[in-house]
Amino acid sequence: MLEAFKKPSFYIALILIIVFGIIGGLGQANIGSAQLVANGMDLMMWIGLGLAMAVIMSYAGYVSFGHSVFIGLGSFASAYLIAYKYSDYLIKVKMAHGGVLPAGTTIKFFIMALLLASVFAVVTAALVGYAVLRLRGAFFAIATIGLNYVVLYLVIFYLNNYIHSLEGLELGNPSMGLTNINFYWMHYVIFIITILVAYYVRVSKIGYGLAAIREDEDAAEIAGVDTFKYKLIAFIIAGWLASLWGVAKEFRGSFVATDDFNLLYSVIMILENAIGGIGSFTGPIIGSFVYYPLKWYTQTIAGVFALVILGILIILVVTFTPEGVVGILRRKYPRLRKYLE
Amino acid sequence: MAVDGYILRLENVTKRFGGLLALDHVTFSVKHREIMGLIGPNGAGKTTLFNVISGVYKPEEGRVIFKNTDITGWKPHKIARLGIARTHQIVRPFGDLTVLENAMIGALFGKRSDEITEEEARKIAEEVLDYVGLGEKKDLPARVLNVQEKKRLELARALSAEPELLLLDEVLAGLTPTEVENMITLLRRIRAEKNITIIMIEHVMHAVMNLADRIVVLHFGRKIAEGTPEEVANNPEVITAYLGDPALALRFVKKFRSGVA
Ligand SMILES: Nc1ncnc2c1ncn2[C@@H]1O[C@H](COP(=O)(O)OP(=O)(O)OP(=O)(O)O)[C@@H](O)[C@H]1O
Ligand SMILES: [Mg+2]
Repeated sequence: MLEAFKKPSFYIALILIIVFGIIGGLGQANIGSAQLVANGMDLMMWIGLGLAMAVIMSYAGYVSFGHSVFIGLGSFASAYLIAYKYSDYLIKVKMAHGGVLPAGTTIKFFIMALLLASVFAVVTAALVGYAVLRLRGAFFAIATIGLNYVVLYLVIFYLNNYIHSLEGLELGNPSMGLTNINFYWMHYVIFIITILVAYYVRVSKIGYGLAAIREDEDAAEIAGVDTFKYKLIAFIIAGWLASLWGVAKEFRGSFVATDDFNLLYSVIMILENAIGGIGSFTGPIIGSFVYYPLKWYTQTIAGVFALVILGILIILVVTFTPEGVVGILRRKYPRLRKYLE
Repeated sequence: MAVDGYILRLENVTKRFGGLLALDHVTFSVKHREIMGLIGPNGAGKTTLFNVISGVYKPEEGRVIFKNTDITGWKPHKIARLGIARTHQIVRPFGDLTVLENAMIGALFGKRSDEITEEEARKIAEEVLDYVGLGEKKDLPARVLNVQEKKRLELARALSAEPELLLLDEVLAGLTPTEVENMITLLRRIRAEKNITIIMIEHVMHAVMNLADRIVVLHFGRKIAEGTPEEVANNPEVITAYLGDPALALRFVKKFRSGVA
């Protein structure tokens, strides 16, 4: 297993982990700008979400259009714990400590949220994957969109009827008194988990099996790949990783459990993989570095037209560079291939 | 190997596609380390038979027994791991992956899939690629290979699985005469050097007459003959159904027996 992390293709992952660590360190020491910390956090999330999607879409060739459901489940898990179940308790602890939640309590609840999110995501992915991974191509994509809405409405139903929260959408924010740099480190922990897992899946035996499935599923099965098991593993890992980012979003945001079921997140994750190139670990990373600055500038400059620009970008990518940045690099510079896993 | 010396036994294998009887109670056995030729006109059911053996189709009737294990209805990946590998009549490379990765997948998920490490798989794949003459091309994406090379890649992926039974579906089709001769030489080597049983579907008559120890002839899903190449080539029913001109058929036999082909 350790061999996987000694390959040249791990360099890019390692560089990212170090660079984002340095940005965090600067922020912690109050040297870097607040903007850098905020942007760093965003970028980690987009890379992380792109990689979560990559495990099923890019590695295995199954586009999970409703993948936002897993972000939503992670959000719901955190909101349920922080803003509902332990809300009173957290407020009490906060009062007792002069309005600031002790680090130990924060970390404990962060971990609890990650665990609950993981349980929700893994159980959902396993049950649903078992049913829908028999479908191929567009049918699979459509089934996952259905899944997104089914789970969203179950969550809304639950909030409405059992928690009686405001319009069933929002849980009161206990305001944990955390600052951006706290959120940054939370993002960083999830970032490292995502990078290591997504990388390992790509370069391990599972990665070979998934690549074979993506290229020709029937031939893969005949060559001895347990295609159904591998697809299920990929779907569970992809869903699990996305759910962790739901937790990050909720801690940083405001515990609105239902916002994150937005299909737009799926679209962006898919776009990142399409820009970067299907089939690789580096693809969605490069895709995020293209997408995020574009999104940031267009949002600042173009406001509501940012979505129009996003749409145009999708059309351009699909039309002109179906092989993506990594595909082009690999074709033009075959020697780079060993770095671009 | 089975106690009785047979590695594969088909009993009354029957497969229907709607109203079409693609395989009609086909029964025959393949001995350990022999080369069995499978011939017959287009649409006779040859590929379908491979699909039944490798688990792609479940037969409506009959049984497939590999080394005393009834594998009828097993999933393809389980059958592959038991030691049956095959090539595809219409080549199916994993186009985006390199030639080496294609062969490695054969090794990683083949007979020794439970224990094999990536390093071992790489070594086996490299050896096999050299063996089939693709060593130089190992870092190219499989998609850029030409037809002959893709056929060799099919063979490499199957051999990398270290199978006991190899099913070859028209590996000679679409090749130039020189390429056919090279491939025949390669198959001879495999048979001489590897502990492997082969069933080969082939329309290139002189090749199959030449390589096979025994031949089974299918016609409209039925087995119409089985025997040595000479017996089959002299069988009147086979001549009418498939070989056409009896004189031509006999020439094949003479040609390979005198070692010309
Ligand atoms: N999946 C399928 N669905 C319906 N019919 C099929 C299917 N596969 C094969 N057939 C039919 O079954 C018959 C046998 O086909 P098969 O491919 O086994 O022939 P073959 O002997 O391999 O022929 P060829 O020499 O042309 O490769 C044909 O009539 C074919 O059209
Ligand atoms: Mg055929």
